[in-house]
Amino acid sequence: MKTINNLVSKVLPKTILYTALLSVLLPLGVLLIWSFAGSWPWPNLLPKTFSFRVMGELFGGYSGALQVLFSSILISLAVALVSILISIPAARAIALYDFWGKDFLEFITLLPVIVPVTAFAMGTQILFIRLNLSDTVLGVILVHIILCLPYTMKILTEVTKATGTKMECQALVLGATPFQTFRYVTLPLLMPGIIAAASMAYIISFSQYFLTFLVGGGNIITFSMFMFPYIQSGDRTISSGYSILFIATSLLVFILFETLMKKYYHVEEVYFFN
Amino acid sequence: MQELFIKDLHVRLSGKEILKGIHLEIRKGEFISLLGPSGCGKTTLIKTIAGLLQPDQGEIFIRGQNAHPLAPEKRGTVIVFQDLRLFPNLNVLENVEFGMRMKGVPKGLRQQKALSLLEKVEMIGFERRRVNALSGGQKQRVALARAIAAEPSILLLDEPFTSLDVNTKEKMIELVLQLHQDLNITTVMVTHDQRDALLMSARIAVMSDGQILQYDTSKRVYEAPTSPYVADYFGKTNYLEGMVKGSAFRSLLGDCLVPLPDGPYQMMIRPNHLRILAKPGDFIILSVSFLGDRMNALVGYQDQELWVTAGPDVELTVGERVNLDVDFSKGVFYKKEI
Repeated sequence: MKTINNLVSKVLPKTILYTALLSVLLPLGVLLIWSFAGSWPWPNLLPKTFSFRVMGELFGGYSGALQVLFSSILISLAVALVSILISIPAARAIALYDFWGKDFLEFITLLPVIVPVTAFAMGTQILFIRLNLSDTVLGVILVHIILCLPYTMKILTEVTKATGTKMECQALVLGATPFQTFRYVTLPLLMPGIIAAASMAYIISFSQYFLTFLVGGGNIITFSMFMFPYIQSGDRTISSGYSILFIATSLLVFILFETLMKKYYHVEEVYFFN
Repeated sequence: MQELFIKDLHVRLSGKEILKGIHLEIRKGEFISLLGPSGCGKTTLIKTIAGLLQPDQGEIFIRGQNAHPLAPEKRGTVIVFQDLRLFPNLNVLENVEFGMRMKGVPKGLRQQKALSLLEKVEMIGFERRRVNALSGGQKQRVALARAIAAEPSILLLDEPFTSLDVNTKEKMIELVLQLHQDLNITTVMVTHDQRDALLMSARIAVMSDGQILQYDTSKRVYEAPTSPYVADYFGKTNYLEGMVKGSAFRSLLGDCLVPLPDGPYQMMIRPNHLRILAKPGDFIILSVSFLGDRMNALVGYQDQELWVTAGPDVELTVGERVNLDVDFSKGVFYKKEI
């Protein structure tokens, strides 16, 4: 009996944890090895020769990878920022106020995830062409925002519901103006949700290929578009290198979000109030 | 001058009338309690005073000024909520400073004041602590200090002691009374505990179903309740049926003179105004419960049952026949509707 208990309470969770960890880290390791592989014929367990040509490709300047990477990061940051700015008040309206057609509106905000991207993209493309937004950075940012809003809305609505208005009432009676209440009480309380939602929006935008290609018309190149031909062409070394760079920059941006926000707002854990 | 004056206040919440015509006035520096069972509207009343809820009818005057156009942050009415609501992203000192910081008080000054208040509530040494790391009593002290630091013209306490254990509660009551004495802040306390209300407040407003039934000094509310409902709220009590005829009240237990018009009456008499006499009589002791400092006995006489409070030293046994002394001068009379 004791051994079974021990198995369930200790061994099993750890096994699951390490399996999950391994299934993430192992492919990453393979990617890393591939990046520096010269030739790696079957059935060798490790590459026969190593090469550093990926460093030249990534950071040599001739491929333009870094420029694309930076403009891509900027586009995704803009998408994350605007999505959050829209979602905070919208989530508040849905979470805390009662108005006619609220349930329907809440459902509508989820539509971009329910409708297949291809179907949704065609309609958007026609509209954007009419509005002269096609082939522009603004158009790309807009279409990414539409795609991100369901996620940021869902996250922030739940967080707003959980925090409620209790703390805000307390701030008001202590003499804080509505703006001060938002700035010093609401925003810090929402911060864990904002970080989660912003990270989500960033990664959705950053990894978007099809929509960027369609709306950007090939004029707007993002990093995921840039690396796509390499993955397709089968140059595993270069595409592995780009993949590593993709993951590393995303991770860096996430860490940056979190440390900056937490440092600024002194938020150390997630707080919920009922 | 009146610090707070409320006239015919009606408040509806989601279609239901919660407050049905409240009248209330509080003098400067006074400590009053709103006493009533949960759901009687007492929390709604303080939220309306603070401006968090809008009245449908009636007026609130704070220091003679109509409060209606004033936003909550401009009223100077600070609520200490039952669930305390300390800001989790701020430490103890920052929480206490909050009100002053919002008003733009310079850092040095507000820190100095916050520290002196933390000293008053005996929380010195905790100023850098996270509020989530504090115990219930400590959180209460911080919440109190934070409210006082905002320099309220009226301090509103919403069921301040319900979540505390008995010993912590005793200390907090002492602290609140001490602070009230030192700072003389006009205070309204919401409570459902009649003992807290009697112990702490100069006047008590007994509420039921959105109305104030009686608003008077603690002594008057206890000794001369204007209705059986108010009398019942302060614990078990006895009602004696009788008739008044020619200024004399006649009842099962005896007669007394009262200046009342003729008719059927009910006399309310508290258990502590009845005394058990050890010599055998017509009263039977039905039950006895020992409460440490006193005893509650249920005494029967014909079909009447009476609660009597006795000292802890009296020897009472169930089934014993005793006599009863009724202090008719303490009786409160209610006219019976026919």
